[in-house]
Amino acid sequence: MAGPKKSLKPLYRKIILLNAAIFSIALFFTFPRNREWLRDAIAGSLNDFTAECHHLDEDYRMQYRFDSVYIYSQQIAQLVKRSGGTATAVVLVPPANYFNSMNIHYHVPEPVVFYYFTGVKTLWSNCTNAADANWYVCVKDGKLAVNPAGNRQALLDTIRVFNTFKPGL
Amino acid sequence: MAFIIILLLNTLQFAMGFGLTGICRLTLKPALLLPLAMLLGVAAFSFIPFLMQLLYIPLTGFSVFGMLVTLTILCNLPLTGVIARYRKVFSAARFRVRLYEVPFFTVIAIIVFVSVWRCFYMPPTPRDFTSGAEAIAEYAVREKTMINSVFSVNMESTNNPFKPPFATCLQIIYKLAGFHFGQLWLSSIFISFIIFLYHALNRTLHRIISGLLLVAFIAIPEMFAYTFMVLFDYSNAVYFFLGVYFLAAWCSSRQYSQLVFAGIMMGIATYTRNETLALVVCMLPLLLLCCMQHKAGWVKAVTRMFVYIIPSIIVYVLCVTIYLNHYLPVKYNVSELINPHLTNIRPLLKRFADINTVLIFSKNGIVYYSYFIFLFLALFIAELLINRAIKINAANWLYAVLVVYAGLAILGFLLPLMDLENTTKRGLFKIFPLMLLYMANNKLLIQASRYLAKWEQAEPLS
Repeated sequence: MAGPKKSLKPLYRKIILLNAAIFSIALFFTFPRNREWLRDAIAGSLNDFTAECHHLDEDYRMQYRFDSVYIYSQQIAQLVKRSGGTATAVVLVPPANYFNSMNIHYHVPEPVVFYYFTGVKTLWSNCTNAADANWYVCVKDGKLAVNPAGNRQALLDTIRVFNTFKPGL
Repeated sequence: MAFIIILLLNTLQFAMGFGLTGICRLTLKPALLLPLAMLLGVAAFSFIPFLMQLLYIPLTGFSVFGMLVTLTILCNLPLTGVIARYRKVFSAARFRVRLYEVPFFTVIAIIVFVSVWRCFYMPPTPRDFTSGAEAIAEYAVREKTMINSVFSVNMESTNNPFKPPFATCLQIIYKLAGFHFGQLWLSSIFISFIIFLYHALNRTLHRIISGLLLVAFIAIPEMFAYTFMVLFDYSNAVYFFLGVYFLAAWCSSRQYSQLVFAGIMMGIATYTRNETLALVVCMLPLLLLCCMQHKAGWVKAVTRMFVYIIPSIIVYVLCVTIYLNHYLPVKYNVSELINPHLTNIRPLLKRFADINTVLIFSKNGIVYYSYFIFLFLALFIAELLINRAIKINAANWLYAVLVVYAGLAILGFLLPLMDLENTTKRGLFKIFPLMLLYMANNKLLIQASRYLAKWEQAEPLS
């Protein structure tokens, strides 16, 4: 009879330790910031999991993550290609504030990121070589449009107009 | 299919890392050696496309994977010896889960699942990455070279394409393996790291305390976010920690292989972020102190310092002096980044004050890092008040904490581009695993662990 009693004792203590482990974790997540993190970063992500499993397309995931930054960049790249822009196209993109003033909420990505998204080279109007652009983006009738840069003076005028809007990352 | 590829890739990384630990003659418990092999394998992989680029070998799927497989085999020669080592390690490995570990493992498994899924599902997000390593990797796969058309794009708004090629190379490998967004190497680092940490904590603490501390560590909000938002800082924190871990281990064991390994880990940390070299140098006084404790002569001390520092210097020269200056088509002058007004120390004091008032002891600090720093401080003050002494092992970790704490302020002063809200905020990731290992050497927690182990019917501490 003494044998089983002896072997039960450590198990009994292990169960107490198990309860202590559960209690300590529960206590840890009662702290406000920990609880908030658990809710937002963990439970929130788990909630999204099922929906995300149904959308594994890579382009969808890019749109899902980068939203309008990616969508508008893709639109601009497609407009350039449709308008006959070749691999040598360098597109002048106005600052985000320009788009905001036209009710288009486009946080303009910097040239390297735009190139990563689309394969099209861009320049900001405050770049030192902005005058090398051969296309430029503007908003016409509330929609994005791309136009050939035209002659150098016309391009410099466009750059001057774009520079009246505050640039930034 | 993706699962099989990732399994093969991880197996290859593990095999390379395992082979390298054998070459370094590192002897560790299997529970520490196995995750370490994985971490070393990932780091070793990251060097290969870079070295191929330095030799102008085109980065095709065939050449990159051919090189990876060949080098993995070379690292595991002679095969008979390595097979015997595998047998020895795996037969010595004991994977026994105690009942009270289950709640911690469950919570950690859920957190890891979220991190891995997001790492797989979401494209690389941070601007520092998409405007640098990710763009270069994407076009490297298309153009078969890291010196590609990205460098023909205007770069006035960013210096990110000039960051070290650690992440770029891993992105290239994973993209070539069929993972368009790459990134999953970060999950390998994350998982291996927490396994390593858990067993490192278990060396001195009861598993119930280790489990809770590990949950607290993983749940540092800002740091957790960077386990799936790929950037340099999480990996940098991991390899810097490993450098300190083996330096501290060498201090107590005097095993030369551990010093060599500390140097290699610091070299990898420098490869993930070049400015880490400054922190690696700041760890030298600890090494010197250990040499004095070991009663080593000056020649021996200098030799050991050389062994420890040389991998970091080689990596820095390769990445900055050679690659940036002689390979990249766009000139990037690192010396121009250095603060030209070094005699005016007011910005240094301001940066130091800002780290404390903005990043640590503030509402933002809680949002970024939760209560982890306060837990560390509470245990440190309690140890000081109650025991009125700090053990040498704990002191080593405290010194490393101090190096990062003061070092980040100094780096921010030397390199004004290292801003507070981004670079320094993420740079502080390096301090958390060091704080964690201080906790593992905190006398109060060790005493509590002993009491718990005794109470649990003399179950030995692992």
